[in-house]
Amino acid sequence: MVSVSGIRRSGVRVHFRSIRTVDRMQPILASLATAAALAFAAACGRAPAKGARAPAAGSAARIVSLSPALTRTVCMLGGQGAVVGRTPWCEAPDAVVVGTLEDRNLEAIAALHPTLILRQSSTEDPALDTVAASSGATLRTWHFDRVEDVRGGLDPLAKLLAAGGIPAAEAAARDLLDRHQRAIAVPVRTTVPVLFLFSVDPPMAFGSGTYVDDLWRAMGGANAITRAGYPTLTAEDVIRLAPSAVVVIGRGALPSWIGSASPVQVQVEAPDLLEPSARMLVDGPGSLHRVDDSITAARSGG
Amino acid sequence: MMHRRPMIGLALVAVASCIAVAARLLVVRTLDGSLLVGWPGPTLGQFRVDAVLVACSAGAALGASGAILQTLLRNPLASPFVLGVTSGAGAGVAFASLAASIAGMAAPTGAALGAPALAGALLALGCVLLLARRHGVLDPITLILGGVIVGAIASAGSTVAEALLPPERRGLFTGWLFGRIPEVPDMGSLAACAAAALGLTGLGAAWGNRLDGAALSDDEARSIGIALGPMRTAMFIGCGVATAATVALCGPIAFVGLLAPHCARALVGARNRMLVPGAAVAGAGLLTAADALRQWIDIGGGRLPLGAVTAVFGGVAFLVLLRRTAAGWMA
Repeated sequence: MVSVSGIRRSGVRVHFRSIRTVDRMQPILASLATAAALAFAAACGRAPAKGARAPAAGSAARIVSLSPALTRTVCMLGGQGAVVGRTPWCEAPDAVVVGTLEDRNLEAIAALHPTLILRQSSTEDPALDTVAASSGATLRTWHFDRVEDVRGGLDPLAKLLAAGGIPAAEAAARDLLDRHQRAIAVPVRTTVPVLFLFSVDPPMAFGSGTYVDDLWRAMGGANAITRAGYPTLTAEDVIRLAPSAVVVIGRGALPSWIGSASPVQVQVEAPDLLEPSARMLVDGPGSLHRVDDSITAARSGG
Repeated sequence: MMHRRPMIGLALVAVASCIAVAARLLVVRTLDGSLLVGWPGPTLGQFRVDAVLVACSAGAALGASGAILQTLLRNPLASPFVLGVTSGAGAGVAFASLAASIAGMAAPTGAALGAPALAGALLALGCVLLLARRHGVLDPITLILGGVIVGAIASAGSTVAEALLPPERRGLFTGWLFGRIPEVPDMGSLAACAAAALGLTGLGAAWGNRLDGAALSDDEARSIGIALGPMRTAMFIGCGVATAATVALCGPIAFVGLLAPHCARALVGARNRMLVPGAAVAGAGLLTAADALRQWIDIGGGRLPLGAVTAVFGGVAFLVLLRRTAAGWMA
């Protein structure tokens, strides 16, 4: 009986406390609801302002790109003004952000009335297919990974842009390919195996069959990593590998153990070597030549 | 008086952990696929010794925390991560990466991630402990709920920060989430983690009888003279700080804190005076074994992420244990 009455008393107390709590909570809840409503209204108001732009008369191409590498390539082909939708990481500030490849906003894409949708993927995306079909847009999937992928994709992409009202794209593609050929035609002086890292903790390397490997080999260099892909290593792996030079692509402090791995360490800040796009084709060889100069100077004691 | 079975069990756990340590110190697989057995010399040997010290410290901290939390929360599925510490550390790392990106600075990596991880972990722990205080006493149920909610909010913060990171920096954060055993650790972080592991293990063993009593209901524990409030506060703070030190050193490591107490309990029994040290030794051995396995298995991408190894092998081992101890986890 004691416990029963205790529970009953406790229940009453909790009940009154709940009522007092709700009273205190009301202004907070009202503020939260108002804030949510304002945020919703702001979100609703912003989408049509940018997202529902009608196609401008005469400018046929309206491109939505779901890949930073493809966006950069389109821009280098002269199509910057035609990019109307992009990912948050694409450098095309006038375009609307429509999400990412994995999390794209189909409504926002449809509202942009695109004529061309570009993506990098190896998987099917029926929903995006539907949006493209209903918008009358061409949906093209590219796979920019190796140098040959980018090189081979330039001409078809330029043709698409030219057909969409950017006739200069084809000439731009030819110019980019010429610059690339000229850049890689200059051989590097470093012929000993070099390890290219894009992360040092843990060490992650450009292996064979990657775009940096493609460029370096095309210029006469040798990659210390013979296995394919982007292997994750340990510090012990790197020291055992004993490359003639370690090149770290990126910023940040180098770990102390790098000194035990190779007498020559080079760090280069080269965004063109961190993304397989047209910029990698054209500027990547230049960055690698700078790496070559640094290695040569270090090896000759300069 | 100590029974013989727990001592034998503890010795077995210690021997198994020593085998794991020896395996990590003496056997590696090279990039060309060959297994190398033997001591590699001073430079490479130092890497292995440091990695073993890190794995043992972190594993012991996680194991001891797991055993204490499973007892105090009366829940065999409790692990150090129920305190929301890991998610808090993740949020700290994610926001530090985002701040560096906005400021145009290099992305923090390695030891530089320790400070934001520790700050995030301790902040989350503080929130959980504040939420769990009811009438001046830490309530286990509220602590679990608070840990889950604080963890969820911190994870949401991490997700937002990660979404705002540029693509080339997102990989670093994702890599941190997999956990790692640094071969060249930050000595301050390692010392802090080792001290936390030793302190918590010692405290757990010293208060073993009180922990045994705390595993009963609150009324029963009080009836035998155990002051639950101060003990819970000290233990929860100890577990939280030890876990935070581990996350700052190695990132989040799954399953060790859950599995190690169960392995130890199967061998040394459920009395906390032996269970807590046993779980610490088992945790050290498990994490060292996972790091050794990671050196040997190569499925094409180089070294496997540590978190994947602990999750896959830990999950399988946990299922086996679950089948064998189906009659009850508290023997």
